[in-house]
Amino acid sequence: MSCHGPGEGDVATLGRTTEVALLGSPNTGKSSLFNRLTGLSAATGNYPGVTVTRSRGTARTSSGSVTVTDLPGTYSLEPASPDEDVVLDHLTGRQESETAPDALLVVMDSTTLYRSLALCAEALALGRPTAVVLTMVDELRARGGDLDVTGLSRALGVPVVETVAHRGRGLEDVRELLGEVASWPVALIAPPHDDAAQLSGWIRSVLDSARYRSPRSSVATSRIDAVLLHPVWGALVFLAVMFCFFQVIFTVAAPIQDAIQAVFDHWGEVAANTLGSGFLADFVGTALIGGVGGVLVFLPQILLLYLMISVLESVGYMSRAAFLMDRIMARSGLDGRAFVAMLSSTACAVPGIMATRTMPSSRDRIATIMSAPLMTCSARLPVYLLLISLLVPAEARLGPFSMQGAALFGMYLLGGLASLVVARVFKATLLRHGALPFYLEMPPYRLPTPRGILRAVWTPVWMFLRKVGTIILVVTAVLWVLINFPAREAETAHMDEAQAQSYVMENSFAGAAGKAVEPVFEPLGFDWRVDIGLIASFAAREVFVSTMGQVAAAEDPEDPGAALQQLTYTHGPHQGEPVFTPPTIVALMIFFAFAMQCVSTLATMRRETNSWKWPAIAVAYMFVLAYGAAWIGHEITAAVTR
Amino acid sequence: MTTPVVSLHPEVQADPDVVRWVLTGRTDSFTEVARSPGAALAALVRDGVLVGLAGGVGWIETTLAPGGSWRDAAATVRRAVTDHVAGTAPRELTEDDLRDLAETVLERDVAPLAGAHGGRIRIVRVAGHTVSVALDGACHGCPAARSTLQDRFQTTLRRHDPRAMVVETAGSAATAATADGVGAGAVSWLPFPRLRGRAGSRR
Repeated sequence: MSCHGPGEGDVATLGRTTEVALLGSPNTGKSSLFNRLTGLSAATGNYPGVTVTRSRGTARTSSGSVTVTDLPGTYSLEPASPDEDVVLDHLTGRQESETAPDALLVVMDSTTLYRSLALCAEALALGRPTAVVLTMVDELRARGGDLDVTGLSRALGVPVVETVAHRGRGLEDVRELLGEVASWPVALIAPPHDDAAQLSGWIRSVLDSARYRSPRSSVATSRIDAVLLHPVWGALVFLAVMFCFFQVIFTVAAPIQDAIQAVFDHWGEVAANTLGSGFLADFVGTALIGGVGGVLVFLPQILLLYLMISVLESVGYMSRAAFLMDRIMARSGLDGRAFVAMLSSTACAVPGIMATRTMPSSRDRIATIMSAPLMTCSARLPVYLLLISLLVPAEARLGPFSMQGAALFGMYLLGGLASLVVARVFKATLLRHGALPFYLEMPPYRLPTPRGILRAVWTPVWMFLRKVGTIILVVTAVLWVLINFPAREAETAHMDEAQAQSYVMENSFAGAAGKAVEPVFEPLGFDWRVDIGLIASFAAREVFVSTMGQVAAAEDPEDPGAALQQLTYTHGPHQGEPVFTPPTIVALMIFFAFAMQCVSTLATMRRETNSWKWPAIAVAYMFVLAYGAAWIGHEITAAVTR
Repeated sequence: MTTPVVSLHPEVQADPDVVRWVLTGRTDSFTEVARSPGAALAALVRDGVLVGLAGGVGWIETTLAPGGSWRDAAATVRRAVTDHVAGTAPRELTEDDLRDLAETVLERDVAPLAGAHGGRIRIVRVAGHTVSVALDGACHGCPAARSTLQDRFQTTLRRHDPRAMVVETAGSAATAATADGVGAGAVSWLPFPRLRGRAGSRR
């Protein structure tokens, strides 16, 4: 396809598809539009900073394919933040290994057109072929606003198409528009984007020509906000929402989890019957089914976690939560932008750390990067679920609520508070700096679309499955080898099976490693088998669950669940006493809450801070914090339960 | 130096050397711009950057000298236009101004709407603040279309002249101010190349 646009900015290249960049502010429905155009999945959300990486895809049009790049949402092309740097670099072709896009498709939310036009002015000033897509036009009209697309197109000097990005209406018009990319005009006269007074004159003039009538703030939205953003009621609602959130994770997921467990149990029997005994049977039974399967049973909880996050997000509640948190965050010296990063970290610290790219102050950014890994990520979830089920009986209730759910809520609260305190400490010491203005968008409440929710849930669930199938599987297999070798056939010849298993494990490579570090963790109540799990969990936290599964299966292949509960110290002053006592479990949970046990997070920290200094500081402070807090937790629980 | 705040934006015309600066903040006429341009605009004409100035109700057109580039000149021209507008006291619209305005509004805002429904609307005469129009084609005799078109026309005119009235007269009047055929044609996303009506344009 050849391009012969009218302007000098046009790049005519044969033999490659036209490159179009999608440019727009956060929350404009840009990523939704991108997903619909390209059929690829990119995360979309209601709060700023979701689209931190840009995605590429191919959109089919009547006149051939067009490559579309979804740039990070940005309010301005003035490089005020690293995020906006990326956008500008991409647009001007300064980004390495990429050529500048042939044309720009500017996505503007018609309900907040004034601000969108400021970005549009900068885009037009780049002198590239440009077109505009207006989103949320249905909402604008529903809320009493209006605009004349023809007038807007005339005033801007570029084609304008209106859409309802969320529901896919107007999409055909956008495809048609993309098909005509070769004839998109270049703005002959750059809008006065570098002079605030002239720019506002230009924007008002354009809006006037488009007969723009801004939408009333919806009555429903402002009534709901009056409650949800209220300092007292809002905070109470927030806590209640979060509390129910964790109740749901326990109560709803439990039956599904039982069903998955039953499937694995069945496979275990099948495997035992067909493979008999020997190394292969043991590998399948303990490593695959007991270990990897033990992690996989937490899939329902992970799914629910993401389902609820994405519902809260697409309904528009998350921005309100960020607004409420802004006041609390202010005490930590950070702002609501940091909350967005912290919130993302409840899924995984890696996107959380990447979300800090929207923060213009590098000091705030580093403070957030350093504290975000303390938020309870989904990898900690299986560990907490396992440990809580050992600590709190399933029947225990707190009024009408499940005690287990309350305990989980407590763990999330602990992670959140810890990250606030740590951020505060960093801001007060290493990273002292004044605050920058923060503006947060309050999107109107919207009904989530099933499609959007499905996409938001599927991506992390698939990533979890992939993680289970790759790193967790590999580490579990390696551990199985380390736990079962050397085989010690001579020594175990006269023992019964269970005794032999225990003996092999105790004298295995892994056993040696566990025992080597045992003195370090002895004050926390961990024995050498827990230490094996702890060491292994540095590869991925979930591996702790699969390792404990293997250990338990080795102790008592008949009933691994009970075996874990009945695990006793094999030597030392507590010999014969159970390992998983409340003090040990509490210490373990606290250790997992605070320790830096994630290689991906360290790698991301290194990349985002561009130095090894910060990852090193994080590992050190988090280990000290984890160890210290776990010891305190151990002692307090011991004193209370004695 | 601070530039006075004037709401304006450029619209490119069919001839790329001609740019119409739309002054949405001002409802008065700038027909006198060619005769008595502001100092900065006059300087641009003297220096040969601009070769033409024209004005109408709520707009000023500038014509670039052949071989010139808007990329280089736009910022200066914008400032000069801004200065001129800020330095001109608003004045009441004359009958001629209203006629110019009515033609522009008809062509830009009303005719496409009529055309989309297979009808035509044309200006018969302008007297005082009253614009008389005739409806032809599908619009003729259609009460809904009539009120829609008349309303739209009048609302738009009143942004410049609050006393403007649009009334319908018999379609046979001979004093039609606008050429036929303005109303036909589909609305396209790219309307500007079709905008040829630069009433009062002196090139």
